Amino acid sequence: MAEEWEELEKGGGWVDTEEEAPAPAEVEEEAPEEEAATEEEAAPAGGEEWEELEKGGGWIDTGEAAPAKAALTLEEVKKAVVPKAKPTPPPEVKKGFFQEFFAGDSWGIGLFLVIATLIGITWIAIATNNIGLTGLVVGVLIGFAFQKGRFCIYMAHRDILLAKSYGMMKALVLCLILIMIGYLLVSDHGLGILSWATGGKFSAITPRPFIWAAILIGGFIFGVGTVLAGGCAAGTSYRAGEGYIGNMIAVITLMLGASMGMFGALSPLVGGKPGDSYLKTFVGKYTTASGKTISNPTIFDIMANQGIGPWPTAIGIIILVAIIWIWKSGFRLPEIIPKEGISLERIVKHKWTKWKAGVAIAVIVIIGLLAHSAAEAWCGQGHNYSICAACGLVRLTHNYFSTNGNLFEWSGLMMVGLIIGAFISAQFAGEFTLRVPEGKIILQAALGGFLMGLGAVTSLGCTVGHILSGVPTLSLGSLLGWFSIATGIWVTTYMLFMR
Amino acid sequence: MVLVKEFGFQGQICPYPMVNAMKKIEEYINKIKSGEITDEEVRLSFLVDHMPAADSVPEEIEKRGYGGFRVMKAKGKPLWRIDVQLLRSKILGD
Repeated sequence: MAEEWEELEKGGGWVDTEEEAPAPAEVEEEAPEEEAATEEEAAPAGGEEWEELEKGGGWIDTGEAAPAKAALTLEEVKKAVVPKAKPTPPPEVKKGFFQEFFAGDSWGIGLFLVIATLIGITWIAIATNNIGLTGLVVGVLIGFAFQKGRFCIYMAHRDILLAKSYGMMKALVLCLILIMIGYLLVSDHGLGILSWATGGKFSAITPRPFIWAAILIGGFIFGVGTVLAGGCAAGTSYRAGEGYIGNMIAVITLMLGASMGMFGALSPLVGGKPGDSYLKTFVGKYTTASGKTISNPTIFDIMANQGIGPWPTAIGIIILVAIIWIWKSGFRLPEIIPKEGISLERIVKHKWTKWKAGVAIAVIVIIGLLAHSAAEAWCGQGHNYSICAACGLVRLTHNYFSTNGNLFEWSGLMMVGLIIGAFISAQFAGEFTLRVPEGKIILQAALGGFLMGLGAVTSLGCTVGHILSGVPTLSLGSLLGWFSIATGIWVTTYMLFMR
Repeated sequence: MVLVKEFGFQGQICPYPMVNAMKKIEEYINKIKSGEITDEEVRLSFLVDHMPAADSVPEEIEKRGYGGFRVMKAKGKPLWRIDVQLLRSKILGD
């Protein structure tokens, strides 16, 4: 067998019993092998060189199964099974551009090209007064961070239920707290960078409207679609950039579902802005301390009515989260400098911890909020809402497939950038490959994408719009959106994987 | 004697590799318990090309205490292999 394995992990009680597996053991294997052959999944890929990554799991080396024999049985499996595995490539193929300049030793050249391109795009954006182009730059950075950290908002919710693991959710909460602080800093509550950046046009990010009926129903539909597609709008887009065919299809059906809801057959029911369609006529209004009636109330507004300012409100929330955090999982100082030390090559090529990805995403999202508002204020190429992945895909459809599209619209370009960023990140790690799932999964992903598009249009936000950049504004609509998306994810996870 | 089984979960994304691997492990533990398999050691290998699965599958094996495991990476390819070691003596001893 040609695989060379590198051991990654040997954590939990693998026992190294050096005794050689005797040849008769292989004969023993022959009989059950037929059974394996009938199983659809038993399609081993041939010809890999394996390296063991970690040996943490208490693996006992009972000696490798005699290689020659094993190869023989594998050959038999391959013959018996409908050959799903690709033909084995010869070990020393000519290295392509990406293997050479991203994953290989010349990675520095690839990194230089990427950074130079991003700086070039930013320069063009400023020089030609098309600030919408910065969406592409921010998108590449977000996609890069998402892929490096395998940051996944869907997984954060799913694994609470499925694996009883809270790690990703804690990273998400940390990220939300950081964005909330950043949001206060950029708005007039803090440093007022936003009013400075937009020439006084915007003083804060407009919170999402409190269209409660649409958010309850749309968020739930979005959550269902997320589980079916195997990732939310952002998650499914960055996986498309990594080469997952199922997710690429989900991105396309998401655009279809969203267009159908926004402009097509379903638009009288769920489409348009608040008040435009039946579900969106249910708007929760609120009268602020200054006597204005608004349709997008936030907890900041409610607290202001009690005479409590934004900073005390934010600090109160941080203390509350900290108490729950320490009560539930104790206090541990985060590891700031990793054991392996810091090197540019590690940062670019290796996986990031979810904490580092969370912090990086928070910083990029805050920059994105500023750039998005600046694009709208200076060039009319954006919106003053929080940034949103599904909305980006919706606008992308509208921008490029309708007659009155805006080619430099910020959030559509951000989604293009996100997919490119994930692609680049996967290339650096040597992890890009086209992955073809089985037919059932493709159909499921297509349906999931469609439902996500419909749900996002209905509730005017996705996991990024409502949770990542909406919840930090403490908008009641976004908080309700978080609740209904989470409910959709949990119900579908239970139905699909736990019964 | 060692019984080696390999399952290819390529193309599957989260949480399918994890859910399917757990099903397979439980299936084989039941076979050992019922005496259908009498080998001293059953070694199940799961091939995944979805990197998060290379984290989530071992995590779940450890949490459920199924047995020893190790994670292998194919050189120069986005392909991971998680080996689980089901020892007859340990399973029947429990």
